Amino acid sequence: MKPRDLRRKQQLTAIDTSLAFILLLFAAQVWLLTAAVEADLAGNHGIGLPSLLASGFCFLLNTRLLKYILDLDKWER
Amino acid sequence: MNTPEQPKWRQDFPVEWAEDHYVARREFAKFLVLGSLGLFVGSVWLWGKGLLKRNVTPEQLAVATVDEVPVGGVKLFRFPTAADPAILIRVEEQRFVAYSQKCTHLSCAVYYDAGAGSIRCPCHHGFFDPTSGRPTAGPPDRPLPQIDLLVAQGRIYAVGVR
Repeated sequence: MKPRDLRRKQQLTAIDTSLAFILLLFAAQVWLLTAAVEADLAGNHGIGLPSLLASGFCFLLNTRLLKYILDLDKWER
Repeated sequence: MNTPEQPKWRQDFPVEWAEDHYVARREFAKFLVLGSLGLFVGSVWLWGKGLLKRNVTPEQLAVATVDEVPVGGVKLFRFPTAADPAILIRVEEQRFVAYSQKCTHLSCAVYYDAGAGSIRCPCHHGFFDPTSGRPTAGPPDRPLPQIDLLVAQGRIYAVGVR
């Protein structure tokens, strides 16, 4: 296997791991929004802020993971 | 990748699968993070909507005259804003109650079933006690928001929401 192909395989593993975390966080955000909408429809508006904070935290983690994925190309050069 | 065992056409048109998967997954990750942003924006919108709703100070509203609603009868009105449907019920000769008409399960409009003596939600068969607004059966687990009433000079006024 050429060194370039080996490096690509390593990057693929790194991407797969990051993608798994991103998917998990995405699923958590979907669940949070669903629960918040349901509570809002039931007239319980107090749940909006905790849901917003948790969703924002997940989004920040996701952007950090995406940055890591995009930076993988830079390490190659 | 090219290996000598591969057929000639494959060597002429090689597919770098590792490269292909790498790009596809990177693009998928971008798409997911964009979706994550969308979900976050949705949460912000939901929170803002709730915040605006909480800051509404209700003004006194004349709902009906006492003679207008017979015992067991209802009158629909909107309180505290035009977007909030409410229901006034005359449960006894001298007793009026009013609640938000939105079911505390998923906001369907509830109605008063005088025959059964209960407030019902047709969507998921939720039942509420008309005298207290408490849920008696079905999926709702919180009471209907009660509207404070004031009866003066033969008129019924809505004055606040509990």
